[in-house]
Amino acid sequence: MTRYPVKNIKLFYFICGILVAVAALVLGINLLLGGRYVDLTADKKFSLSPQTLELLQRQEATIRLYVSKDMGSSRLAGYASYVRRLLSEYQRKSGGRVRVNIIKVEPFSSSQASAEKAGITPFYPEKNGVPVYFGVSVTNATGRTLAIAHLIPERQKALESDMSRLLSVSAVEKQPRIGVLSSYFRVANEANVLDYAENMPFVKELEARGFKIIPLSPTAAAIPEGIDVVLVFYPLNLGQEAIYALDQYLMWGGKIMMMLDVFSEERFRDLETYISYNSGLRDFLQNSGVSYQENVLVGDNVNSRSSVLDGHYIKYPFWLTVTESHIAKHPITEGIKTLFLNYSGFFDYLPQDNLKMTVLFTTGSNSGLMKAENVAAMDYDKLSEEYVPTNKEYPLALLLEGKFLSLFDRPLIEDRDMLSILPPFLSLPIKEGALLIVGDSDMAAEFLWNDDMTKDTPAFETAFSSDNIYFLQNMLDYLSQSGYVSVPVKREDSVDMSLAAYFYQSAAARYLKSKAQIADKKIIAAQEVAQAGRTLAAVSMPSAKRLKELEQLQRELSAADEALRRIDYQTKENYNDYLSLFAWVTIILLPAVFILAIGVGYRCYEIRIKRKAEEYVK
Amino acid sequence: MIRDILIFWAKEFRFYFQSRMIYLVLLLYAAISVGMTLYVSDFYQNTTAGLYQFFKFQPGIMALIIPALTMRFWADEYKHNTLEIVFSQPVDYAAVAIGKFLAAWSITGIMLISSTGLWLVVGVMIPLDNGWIAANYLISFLMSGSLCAVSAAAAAFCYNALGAFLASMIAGMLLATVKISLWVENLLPDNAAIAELSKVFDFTRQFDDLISGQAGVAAGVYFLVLTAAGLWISVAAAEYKRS
Repeated sequence: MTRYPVKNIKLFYFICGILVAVAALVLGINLLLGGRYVDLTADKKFSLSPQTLELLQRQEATIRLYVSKDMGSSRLAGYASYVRRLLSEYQRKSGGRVRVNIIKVEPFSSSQASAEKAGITPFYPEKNGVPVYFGVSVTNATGRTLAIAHLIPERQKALESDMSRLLSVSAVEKQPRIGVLSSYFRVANEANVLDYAENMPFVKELEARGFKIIPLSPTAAAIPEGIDVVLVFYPLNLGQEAIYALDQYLMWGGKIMMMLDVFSEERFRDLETYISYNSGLRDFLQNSGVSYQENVLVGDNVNSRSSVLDGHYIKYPFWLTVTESHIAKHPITEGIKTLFLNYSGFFDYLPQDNLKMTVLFTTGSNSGLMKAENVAAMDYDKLSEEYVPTNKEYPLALLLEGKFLSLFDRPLIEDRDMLSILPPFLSLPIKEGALLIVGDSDMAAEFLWNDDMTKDTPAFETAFSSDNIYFLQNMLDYLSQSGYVSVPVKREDSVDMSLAAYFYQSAAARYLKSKAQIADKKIIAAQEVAQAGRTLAAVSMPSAKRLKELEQLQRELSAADEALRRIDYQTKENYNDYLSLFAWVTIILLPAVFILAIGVGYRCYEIRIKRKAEEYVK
Repeated sequence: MIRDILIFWAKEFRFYFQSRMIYLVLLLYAAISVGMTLYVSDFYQNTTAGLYQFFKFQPGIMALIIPALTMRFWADEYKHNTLEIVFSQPVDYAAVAIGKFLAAWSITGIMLISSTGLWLVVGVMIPLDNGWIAANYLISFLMSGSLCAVSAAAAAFCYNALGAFLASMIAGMLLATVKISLWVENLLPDNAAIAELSKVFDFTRQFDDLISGQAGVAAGVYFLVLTAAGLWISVAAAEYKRS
């Protein structure tokens, strides 16, 4: 008797039976375990955060992912696959409350029309190629639709953060109202909207993140009703009316967020000269125990970013990088890993009984102080000579919460008619307020958070270099009690640098210094040639000597060009050599060494067995 | 039974190394899989932390190489008439088949280890997700087990090594390279239910599901079921032929 029934029935039927059983088993297992996944990645890039899971328990929405059939690049196709997987987690974990529809968009079809109607914009990977659609829309139960018009792989680690934000924003009908009081932004009179500077699209980002931005007049003596948070951005010489308005706003339990700046790099760029800073808020801050020196910058020669100077990467102490170790644990800083600040001021604080103070982040221990006008005037060499670390950590952002005391003992405005339209004066607070102060306004400037720097990039579509925009979002969420979900950005989801970039950097490293020197020489030569050309053009009959000089300069210029081309060629050659070496090592050498080791090991084993056998025979 | 399996595994495993061909097979495998990663995919430009570009080629490459390991499973026994001697011993068909299968599967494990040089070298240069890569190696090993079992089943129907090689390769290639779900999707674009059903049986899709970082438990069980079914058919076919 055999265990296999092949003797009784034909093998064919038996195999068919097994295949059917396998099919049934696979189907059954898929029904039972189809929704169970294990996230193998170190950064848990396929797992949803507790904030998202909590949101999915109360949110009903439809997510539509629009994907072109032909994505045009393997990188985009790979990212589309990741997006699909993450969205399917949303559907699965919501227990059906969030539905995910994947719509394959074909050119010139109804699917293309529906994508465009939902706000998804096409892009063209090739000139004259077919349009590619890759975006997502969220529609809530009332039919309100929000969309990310174009999903980019550079934001992969923020995908869950963006999606959950969009979901929670779509559900809230009344957005938090943020009043912006700033000397930096102009208010366009006709529409009463902010005419914000080109490099400050953070306002647009905040609007996309669910905040209603309302410009405030710096000359008004009261904050209008219904403002949830006042954002005081780069205040300059604020008048008594504005200070009175802020003071009274705090007395009524208002929330203020201030971004001061001793040395605004943005403004310095605009004006091309340094102008000493005066916020006008000195007394207002001191009233709460905070002092801010408006002519002193804080630097850190360890926790700072690099700049290329004479072919070397040099840490520039006033381009601060604040990392997790110097960021306090607080709802505002949750998930914040890196912040960039340029030319920041710092705060001193005298504890007050009525206020609870939290230092949100500080510089590192290698910090030092310098006067702003000196920093503006010095070149790097002089700056590095004069910069002396004080081995002290300086607070860069403070949060004060509690009952603030008024700076005023009577109403600022005594005109009865005016008083009647202002809120009643309070010398003592009736509610707890909050004041959040940051020592730098440049941290909101686009060049400190947008790695891509493509102008007019819609919100949620920038390749971010720091967490600055998330910090701003968290600050406003916390102060306005918005109820929005703020999901921390995931850790690095992929390799920072591609292998090609690594090899190219290695190949270029040895020429970095000489290339920078030649480039400098080229600039000087080009300037001299231009100068000589202008001089020659001014005279009707140039002398032979002058012409020779010009020729000599032009020769120098072409020699510099030639040297740069040679360096580029040598870099490319080195790069190709590295690639060949890498391929040779990984394809042939290492496997061959391993296989040789196995062969030697097996041979040793054979010899041992043979000897044992011989000994046994003997 | 387990003792018998281990004895047959050790015997068959040693048998592989008695021929120098195995070293060539190992080298060929490492060269093809690393070479394809470097020259067929966008590995240099878009290096993923889990070495996805390396692992995605594994089903195709394994389907090509594994028949070389399984073709002699039964063919040599028939050729030298040793099967009768084996079965004159108090051993089960299943023990013989599982022992042979485990030996071939172990060789695929060695094959996979021989390709870890890529992981080591790239890991020195740029940070990789080592846990994910290690898991992907285990998943590839699991997948190669399924292909070994299917190849063993195909080989069990043939009397000579060449026939076994061809039958194994065709079976393996059909399974590991034909994307059933894509075919079904293109042939029946409006039938979402059938398209979904086809995904469940799609070998490459299930493998892709596992190595992408979000490993589906059902996909893992799929390979285990496939391995068990392949082994069962292989044992049944061998017994049927002997009878």
